[in-house]
Amino acid sequence: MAAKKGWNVERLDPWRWKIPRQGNMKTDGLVYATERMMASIREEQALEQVSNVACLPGIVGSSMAMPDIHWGYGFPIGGVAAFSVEEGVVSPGGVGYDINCGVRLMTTQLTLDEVGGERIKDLVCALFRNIPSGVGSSRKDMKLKDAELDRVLLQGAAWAVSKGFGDPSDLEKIEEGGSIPWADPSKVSPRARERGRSQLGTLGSGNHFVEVGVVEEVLDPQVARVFGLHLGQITVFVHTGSRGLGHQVCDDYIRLLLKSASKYGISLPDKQLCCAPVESREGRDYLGAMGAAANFAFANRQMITHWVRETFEQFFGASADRLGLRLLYDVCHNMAKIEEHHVEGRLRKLCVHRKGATRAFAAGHPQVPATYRAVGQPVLIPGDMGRYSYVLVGTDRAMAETFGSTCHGAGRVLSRHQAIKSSKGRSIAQEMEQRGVFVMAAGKATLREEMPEAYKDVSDVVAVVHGAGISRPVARLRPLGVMKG
Amino acid sequence: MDRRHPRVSAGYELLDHTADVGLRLRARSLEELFQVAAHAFYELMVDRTRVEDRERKGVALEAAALDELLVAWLSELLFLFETEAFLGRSVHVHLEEGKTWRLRGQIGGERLDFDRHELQLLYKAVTYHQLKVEQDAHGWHAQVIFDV
Repeated sequence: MAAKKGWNVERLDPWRWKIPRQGNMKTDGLVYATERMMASIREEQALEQVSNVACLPGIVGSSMAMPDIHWGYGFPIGGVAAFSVEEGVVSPGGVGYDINCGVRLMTTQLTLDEVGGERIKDLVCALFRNIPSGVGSSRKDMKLKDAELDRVLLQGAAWAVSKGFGDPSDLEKIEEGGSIPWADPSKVSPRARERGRSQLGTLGSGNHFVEVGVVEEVLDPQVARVFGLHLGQITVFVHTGSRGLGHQVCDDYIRLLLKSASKYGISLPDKQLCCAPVESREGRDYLGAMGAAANFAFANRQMITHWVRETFEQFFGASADRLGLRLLYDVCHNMAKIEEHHVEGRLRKLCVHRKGATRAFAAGHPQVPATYRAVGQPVLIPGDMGRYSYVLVGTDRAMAETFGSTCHGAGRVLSRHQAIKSSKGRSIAQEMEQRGVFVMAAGKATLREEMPEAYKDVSDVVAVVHGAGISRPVARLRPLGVMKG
Repeated sequence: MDRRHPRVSAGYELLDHTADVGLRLRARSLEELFQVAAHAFYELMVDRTRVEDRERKGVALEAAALDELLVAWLSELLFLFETEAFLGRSVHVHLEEGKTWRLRGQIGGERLDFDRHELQLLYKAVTYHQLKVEQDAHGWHAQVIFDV
């Protein structure tokens, strides 16, 4: 237990804490947090998890955790770790079950007057009708045959666009262009296919959502202009991932890599950290399957985006073009990627794991869309459903320090069980309405589990990454209407 | 191996985990432990008393270690739910130890019916994180955490 062990943590500055290398650790741990956050992080086992990751072979730089860190399984949520492609490992537990769970943000030319008051309720209800969601949601109208599913797994969002879901210009506004080039559908098991087959184009349950919001404050006018954001503008967030297909890919490869860890002489502090050398057959197979699952998630978000556009067109009686429904950006949360980074003056090829963390590339990076390259990559940080969300931008400091990574959201403070217990006898929907947010959920317990006080205040999380210089706030958005899975 | 211990009563409790849901299980025998795990799995999802025993599913699994067998077992129940919307009510388990552990299971239940079953929880996966299957003088104990 972290608290009992009393982890030796050194405060470096108001935003950074170092866990000095000790025991089997091959490098230091580096946690981004305020003093107050650190007090609660110490109570969990998250510091132990940061240290466990530091024990894995071939780690480059520190084993890091973002301020929305919380106890995960294996890697902590909010964990970032890079491994040498030649000597390091890839770990399915360092990516998580919901491969390429991520968020995208759409902007519109609509203003608060057009969706405020009672209209937001009708709009959320319309979204609810048009987007399959919730526990066990699947599309009976679209059960993909294997050959078609292969194309989804190979092409990602481009497959969706080729089928008429959205516009080709959407693709350049998606991380990796909405398609992982090293995806290998042949590495995705029949079980994973079976789980994913009828779930493409579904939101899923729990913390997945579609949220209509408004730009409440512009914090960096110059960057906001480049991103096409302005005060009072209506926006739409979509948060979902690779559904059962991704969960099964993770499960399949954990099972496989449990065996290969001993084969490659890797000792595991926790079975969930099982891994294989990046260049091994097992490692390459996992990356191929993970890429395919990531493409499933890109296609999923692209399809849901299309239904958001259709819903708005029906609701406002105007074309998506006229409503200005434009994709601002789409970021991944749970991924391992082969990227090039400067390490101690040398350009190195690394396998960067981000588990509950966001890529945040700086201005000038070739992977930032041309439209945004002068200012940096948009970083989308949804908060809880009652307070606010942020748009940030990547910085040079993130490139130098975190392999171009930052936080991904608010991070839970209450377990689902605690949240349900402490919301007993209350109507979360009514409380939300008093705050000016209309919410609708498919699952009965979802609103209780997802109530605002179950999460950290995302402003505190953003203050840390801003203070530490690993990303910069551009705008703050306030939710108006939320559709929860 | 004496697998029966009369002193412990079978059951489970929730293990609180910030992001996820965990279970602590106890039973007198190993078979009972796997049975309790399946009951707990379904009871967190729905009111199991409202699930009817209408059709049977057979499951055969193999794993190198007991803890991995427990994950494989619960993952199979999850797979049956996600692909066939199958919810279990009665569960029978037979275990065999050889070079590996083998499980044969029979689950009686029915397909999810939204008119009668109110779903409380959906699992994404069964994790290996802090996974335990142990025997002591009082019986068998296990711990398993789900990603939800």
